Amino acid sequence: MKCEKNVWGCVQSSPLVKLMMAALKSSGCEVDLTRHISCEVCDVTVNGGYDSELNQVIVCQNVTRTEGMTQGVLAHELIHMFDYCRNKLDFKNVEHLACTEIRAANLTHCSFLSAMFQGDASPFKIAKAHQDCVKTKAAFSVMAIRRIDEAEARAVVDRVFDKCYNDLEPIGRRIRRNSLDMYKAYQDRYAFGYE
Amino acid sequence: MEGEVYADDLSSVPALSWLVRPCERYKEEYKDCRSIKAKFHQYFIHGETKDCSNWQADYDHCLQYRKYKDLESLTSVIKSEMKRRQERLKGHYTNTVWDKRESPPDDWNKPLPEYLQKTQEGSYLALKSKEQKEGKIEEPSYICTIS
Repeated sequence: MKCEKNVWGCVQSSPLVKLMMAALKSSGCEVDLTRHISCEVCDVTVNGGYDSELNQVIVCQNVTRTEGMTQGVLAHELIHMFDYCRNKLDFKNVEHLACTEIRAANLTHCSFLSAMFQGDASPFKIAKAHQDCVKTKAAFSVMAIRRIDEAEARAVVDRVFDKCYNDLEPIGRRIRRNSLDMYKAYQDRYAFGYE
Repeated sequence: MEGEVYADDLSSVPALSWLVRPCERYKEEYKDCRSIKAKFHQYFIHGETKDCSNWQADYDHCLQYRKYKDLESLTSVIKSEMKRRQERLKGHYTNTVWDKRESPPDDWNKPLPEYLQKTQEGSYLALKSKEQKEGKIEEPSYICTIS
């Protein structure tokens, strides 16, 4: 119930989640909270996921306990839904999978602090460290889903990286934490047909 | 959608004037672009800091239009917005990893298995979703000012 309340809270007040849902709706893929989002108990190593068979976002209620964390999970998984809605995304195609994971990591994760925590950035390694963070995060996501080894996952991420890293729709910017970027991105939605 | 040009005036100004944001937004973007946190963020992503002068120029031109209805200034901001738009969408259109769809997937709303439908039936989200569809939920109102 707490998980569902957090989801509802995000849907009502998070500019990022509202933008993603508006973009999906305007693309002909309206999100039905009953059908497309589910709170479930998961393995403790994951905080959420997207079930491509059922076309449903899973929020792991035993891990994702706050509204803030729920916002991150929803934004990430709704990127996958957006990619599936607008493109002929074949989740069995490892390049497609890598691309959508690159976009989700790029748009909803990888602040400097999380990059440092992940080992991809440090006070001595700042310039373009964001890319390394996104590559690592995407590679680990691909490994978790497809059960391939790290070298293979990184190779496929590298193959599609340049095209997918620069595709920022529907958010349009790489949001900086604790800034007004989320609100600005939400304000920009009309100009790009997302409402 | 908020814009600098009022809806009633749109027929008498250049096409695409609706792209011009309220002038204060350009000032905010300029101020933010030059901030230490933003410079760090730019360096972290691009390996260099951005030139912020276009935001200042757009703010100045926007004010020129607001005060004197100078259409040349307005056109200048429109061109600047078009350039930003092209830069943003270039990455999207050159992503050829996958083909674009012509219509949404057929299975977007395919029914869930029965056992899952049963668990969703009495859920909090099901209740809120029903209330929203019936128009019983009001959008939360809040005042957001960027200064």
